Order: sequence, then C-alpha cells, then structure tokens
Amino acid sequence: MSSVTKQSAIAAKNVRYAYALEDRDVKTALKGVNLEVEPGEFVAILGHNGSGKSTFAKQINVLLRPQDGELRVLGLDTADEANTWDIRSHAGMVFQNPDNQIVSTIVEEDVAFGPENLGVPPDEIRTRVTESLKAVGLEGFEQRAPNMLSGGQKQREAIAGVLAMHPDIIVFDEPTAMLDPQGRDEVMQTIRRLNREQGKTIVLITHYMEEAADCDRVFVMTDGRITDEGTPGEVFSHQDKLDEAGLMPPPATQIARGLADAGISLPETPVTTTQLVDQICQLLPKT
Amino acid sequence: MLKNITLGQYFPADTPIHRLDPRTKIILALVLLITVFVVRSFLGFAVFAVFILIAAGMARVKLRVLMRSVGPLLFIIILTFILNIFFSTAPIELRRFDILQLPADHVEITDQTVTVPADWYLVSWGALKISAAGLIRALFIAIRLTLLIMATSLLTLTTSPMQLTDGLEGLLSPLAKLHFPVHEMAMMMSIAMRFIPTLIDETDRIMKAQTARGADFDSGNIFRKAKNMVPLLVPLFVSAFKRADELALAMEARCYRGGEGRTRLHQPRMHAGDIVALIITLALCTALMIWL
Amino acid sequence: MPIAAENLSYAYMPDTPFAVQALDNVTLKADDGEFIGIIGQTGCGKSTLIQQLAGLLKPDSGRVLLDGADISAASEKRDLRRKVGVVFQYPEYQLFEETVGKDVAFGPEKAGMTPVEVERNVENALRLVGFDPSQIRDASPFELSGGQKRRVAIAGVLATDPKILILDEPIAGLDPVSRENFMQLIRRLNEAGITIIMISHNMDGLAEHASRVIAMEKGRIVRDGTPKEVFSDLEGLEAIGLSSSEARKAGYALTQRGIYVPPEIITNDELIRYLAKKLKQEGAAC
Repeated sequence: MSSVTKQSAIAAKNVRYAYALEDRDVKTALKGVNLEVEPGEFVAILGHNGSGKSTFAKQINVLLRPQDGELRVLGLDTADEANTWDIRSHAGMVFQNPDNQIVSTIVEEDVAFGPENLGVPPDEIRTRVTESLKAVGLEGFEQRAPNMLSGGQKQREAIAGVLAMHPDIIVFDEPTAMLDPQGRDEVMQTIRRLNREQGKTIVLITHYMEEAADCDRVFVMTDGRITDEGTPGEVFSHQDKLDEAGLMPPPATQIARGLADAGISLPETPVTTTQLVDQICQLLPKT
Repeated sequence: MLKNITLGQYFPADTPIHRLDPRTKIILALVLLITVFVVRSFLGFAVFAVFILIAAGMARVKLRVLMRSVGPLLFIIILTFILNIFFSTAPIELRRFDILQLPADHVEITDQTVTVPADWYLVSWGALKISAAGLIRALFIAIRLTLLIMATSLLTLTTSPMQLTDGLEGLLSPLAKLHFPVHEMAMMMSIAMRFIPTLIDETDRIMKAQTARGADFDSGNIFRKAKNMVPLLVPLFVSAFKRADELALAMEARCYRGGEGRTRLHQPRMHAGDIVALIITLALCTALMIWL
Repeated sequence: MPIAAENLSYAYMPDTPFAVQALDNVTLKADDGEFIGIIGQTGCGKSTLIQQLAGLLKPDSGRVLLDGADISAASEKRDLRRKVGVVFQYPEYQLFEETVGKDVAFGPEKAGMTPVEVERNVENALRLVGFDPSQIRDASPFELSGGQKRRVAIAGVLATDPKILILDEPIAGLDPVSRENFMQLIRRLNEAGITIIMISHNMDGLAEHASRVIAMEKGRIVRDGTPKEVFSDLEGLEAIGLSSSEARKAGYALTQRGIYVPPEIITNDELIRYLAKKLKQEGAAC
C-alpha cells in the first residue's frame, strides 16, 4: 500500500507576476515566490508595502494568475481556467476595507450573498447564515443595517460572508489595517478561533508583527520574494532579515533588543508584551 | 451621522400589509393609480379615500404620517388647482348619484350622468372667470393627486427599498427571457441603496476637510458655486470609483458571476393574504371604475 | 496663539430618537507649543471636539476661543482657516487637483496669499513632508502611492503656515515604519513652534512625544495631564475601555509577577534603562 502524502493546501513554485504601469513601465510584483501551506495551518505573510504580499494573496483565489511558475491551491492548478470556480468556492478572501466588501443593506442578505452565488438551496442558506454569524460573534445581527455597525463588526460580517461559503482556506489581506484597537482585537480573536475550532487554513497578510505571533509559521516577503520562513520565534530573531524587509519590530521586540544592547539577553525573542514579560521572568530566580 | 436616512421613509412593523409580498403591493399600487384617474365622482373619491384609510389603519400608519407625505407636493397641487379654476373651459361629466347635487337649471341630466356646461360661470371679475366646470375639474385633479400620493406613500411606508427592488425584479423577471438584464439592474439598485448612506457620510467628510482648507461651498453666483464644487466632486468620484473597484473584486471573490444559477435567501412566495388582498382590491377598483 | 473650548456642548440629531450627546460641557485650553494627544473610544466625542475647535461645527452651547476671540463672532472664517490646519483621517481622499503643486497651493490661495507667497509656501510644505519639490510638483496626485498621497495632503494643510495643527488619527492605516516617520514629522513641527492637537490610538507614540494627554468618554473629558500622569494609571484607563503604552503594560504585568516596575515608566527607553539596571542588580542570568 503506497503511503498517502497529505496534499498541501497551497503550493507556490517560482510564481512570477508583473503588471504594467502608466508610463509603459512594468512593475514586477512577484519575482519567484516559493511557499507551501499545509491544510489547517495558520500562516502569516509579513512584508512592507510594495513587497508583493497583496498581489500574492490575490493569486490564491485566482483573482490573479501567475505569469510564470505554478500555483496549486487544494491540488488544483490556478492557471487552468476550468479550476477557477472550484478554487474560488473553497478559498475565500477578506479584504482591508470593511465597507467595500458589503453588498447589501441588511446583514443577513450580505452574508447570504456568497452561498446565493453558489446556488445553495434557500433553506441551507438560512442555516449557513445563522452559523456564520454565530462563529464570528454576531449572533442576532441578522436584521441590522451594515452601515450602523462599527469597523470591527463590519469586518466580522465580511468574514461571516466568506465563512458561509464553507471554504477550506481563508486569506486575510491586511484585515485590521483600517480598524481601531478594539476592532483589531475582535477580528484577530475571530481569526484565531476559526483556525482552532474549525480547522480552517488561514493565510494572514499583514505588516504588524504582533499579529503573526500566534501563527504556526511566518513567511517574510521582500521585493517579490520570500526571504525568510519559519516559526514566529525563529523569524523574529532574524533581525537582519526583518530590517531588510523594512519591517519594524513591535515594542516588545524593541525592548528586548534594547535590553540585549544593555547586556541582558532574553532566552527567546518576544513579539508580544506577554511573551516579553514571560521571558524577563525567566531570567530571575523565583521570588 | 446621516446614516439614519432611509429611502422613501420605510417604517418597519409587523402588520398584514407589511407582510404582503412586495410584488402584490406593487401591482395593487398600480391598480389603485389607474383607478384614481378613471373614477369621476366625489362619491368615488370618498370610497377610495376610505379604502386607503382602512389599509393605512391595518398597516398601523398614522394619518398624520400619510398626510405629511403630501407636503412636499402641496405646491404642485395648489398650482394645478388654481390653473384649472381659471383656465379650464371644457364641460365636465359627473355621475348622477354623486354626493354633489347640482341645481337642475344649469346642468344637463341624463340617466347616469350629469354634465356641467362650460359656460356656467360662478364668479366673474372682468377677464377672470371661474366656471363651475373649471372648479369641479380643479377639485378632481387636486383630489386625484392627493389620493395618488397617499396610495404611493402607503406602498413605500410599508415596503423596504430592498423589498421593492426584489418585488420589481420578480415582476420583471419574465423579461429576462428577452435578454433584458433584470437581475443586473436589480443588483445595481440594491448596491446603490447600500452605498447611499456611506456616500453621504463621505461627502460630509470631504466637505469638512476642504472647508478647513478654505474652500467655500456657500457663496457666489451659480457659476462660482459650480466651480467651487470641484474640490468636493473630484475626490467623491475618485473615491466612488475606488469603492466600485474594490467591491467588484470582493464580489468576484465570493463567486459572483451574474444572475445565472443564483438562488436567493428569501424566496418571496405569495400567500393566501396576497390572493385575498388582490381579489378585494381588484373587485373594488373595478366596481369604482365602472360605476363611479 | 492659544485655542480654547469653553463649556462646549453639542448633540447630533437632537429631538429625534437617534439623538446623541456628542459633547457635554467640555472645557479645555491649548497653549502655544503644546503637543496634546486626545484618546478615547470610538464615539466618545473626540472627533466632534476637534471639528468644533476647527470651526466646522456650531456648538449648541458654549464657545471656542482662538487667541481669546470667539471664533463664531468672525463673519469671515478665512483667518481661522489659515491659522488652524486640520488633517482628517485618510487625508489622501481630499486630493483633487491635476498636479501636486496645484493641490498644495489650494489652501494658500484661498487664504489670500500673493502668488509669490503661495509658491514659497508650497515649496516649503513639500520639503517639510520629505519631498523634493522639483520632482513632485508636476506629478498627478492620483498616480502616487498611498503613503505619498498622504504626505501631499498634509503638505496641503501645512502650506498655509498654521500656528495650530489639529489631526484626527493621522497614522490610521499606515504600516509601522511609516507611522514612526510620521510621528517624527509631527514632533519636528511641534519643535518648530506649532501647537499640536492629535487624536490617536497610538499610546506609545503619545507617551514618547506628547506634552499632555486628554482622555474622553461619552462626551466628557475624564483625564487631563502629562503622559506620565495619564498613562501610569493602567487600571483606570482600562476601566474606560482604553489602554496604556506597551512599556507601561509590560511594567504592570511584571509588577504583578513580583518584579516591581514603577508606574511612571511609560516609554520603551525608560523601561529598558530601568530593567537593565534592576536585572543586573538582582543577578539576572545574562
């Protein structure tokens, strides 16, 4: 009996993509991206503006196609037009601007939009809407008007709309960039829950390193290529690679570096304040 | 904070009228509109008005609210009234058994009708004459306009913009077979409605930002004002296009590909209540049109 | 040129079921050269307050004084618009002209400056935000990157030589490096003498650069003091749905775990210096 190899959720091999600019110039956004994401993983792609991370995100659900190289999502080649529908219905995407994803004047209709497009029978749509709203913590919000919601609530509604399509993969393209701290918290908690409780494969595109702290793996993208890869702990300790990527370390990491400069080295590189505190406590004998 | 503006002033409630299928209500509104212009007796108008009031009562719409909807168009009604009083010179035919009983020596009476001649003048001030026919016609038009507005308001007060769009889409869907883009138009309307409050907010924001830079949106003649709108309109349009772009991408990402193969969360179905409402209204209106 | 609010009250949509009391008897004075940070949850009234200070809304009661004079008394707001610059959230959305130069010149022209003055101010403003005027002035604003657009928009506000700069979450949506650069710019402007009033959620930035922090809740001012005074009280801030700087949060957590850190430690540098000393003293493993 042959061994069963688990198929990657996302497998990118040397993906290249360029687009034309106004003045006949060409901007090569992706210069050979290689990465693999396993089913059920929670990964982050960190990168500066212009690193190509958003362009790559749009490749995953075939909003864009590679011009060279190969990208397979759930085993299907994205270059093959026949696969577009299949891939898109199993790989959803949440964008940065909460307002510009909402299609309807009533929450439940907006969440139903995806399943409606898939031709799901009406009774099942109803079930999915209720489930999805519950999963993002918006139970009871069915009849509300989206423009009366807070930023965090709107973004969670957008997530519910994607969830209702029962995707295997969800790509989040800088989902918290336009939210206040409370909204950011709400959304990040929701994302973590979706991975933990529902086993969704999550790809989080962000330039906030703190958001990547809980991921299984982190990729660093610089100038169209993946320049570093590993667990958060590993990646965040590679100061040079982060600097090259134009990424600014979060306060906890900055404090750790400051302490290192002053002669105090922490066992591991912290990314969140909690990790920083834990690390410092490990240095002192228990009181 | 103008987010609370709702189009057409929809007041949500749970009444038999609210629960009617929007398609039913649109059809009924059309029937009522036709009826109000065919009816030609004060008695008929009175019956019609009572019907509207009963429907309003069932929808728990206050009379005050219904009358308020006439407000914006009051000017037109009064203008039409005045024009007709003074300048309408044709004879007018009324029903015999109307509320208004006219003196027999001025009018022509037959079995069914009473005709008011053009030359029966009630008041003459030199060139300005008010004829009885003119007065009655003016009253007819004023009453018709008022009843028309009330009937339409009843529709918009009890049906949300979304439901209206769905209803129209449902009624026009047979046209899709003729390649008329019914679904696309309905989608456009509902997205437009969704973004109106958002765009209103954005306009407010841009106006404040430009005012803070010294822009002046109030003063100047009409040409000045138009030019002063550029700092408001350009950013608004640019932003609207960006929204459209991003929304299109988000819709595609959620597998939108036009109306084919789409199901709906709400499948509007006509119920017994709809049939009853249709039958009663059609019967009443037919009777009104024939006899009154 | 101090700017002040006296007993300011304002409600949105009064006499309707949707009425919101956005400002409730707010009094506040900003002296020359201050760097005031305003913090508060969404809906606390901070945006309404700065719109009042900028003369964009009329108060229901109370008044706004610019240099001692009631701003509503002035029939012409031109002076106010020139002296008080306002940067709204996502200011790049206010760009509208064909070229960067023309857009930045909008404010100065409306302020009645001569062409020579306008030219000079546009150049200076573009330089201030980090551009080379000759390179950027003829570019179309709509072809720039998001970050560049924002800088152009800010240059547009700076071009009228405002004495007071009011900003509503100016770093919203920016990546961490851009945020830092922006805070540095604001600091430079403040050091050059411009009074800064800034709404922000970036506690770290305010802890570092602000001279005064004001916290608002439900239309009222509930904290008004130096960053140290305000940010040291982590529990108090959390009680009103706010937070403190990361350094303070770390210090608080360490104190809870038995490693005392004084509440006055609110910036990263302070924390590093304090911990370096303390840990070495207590024989931490290096």
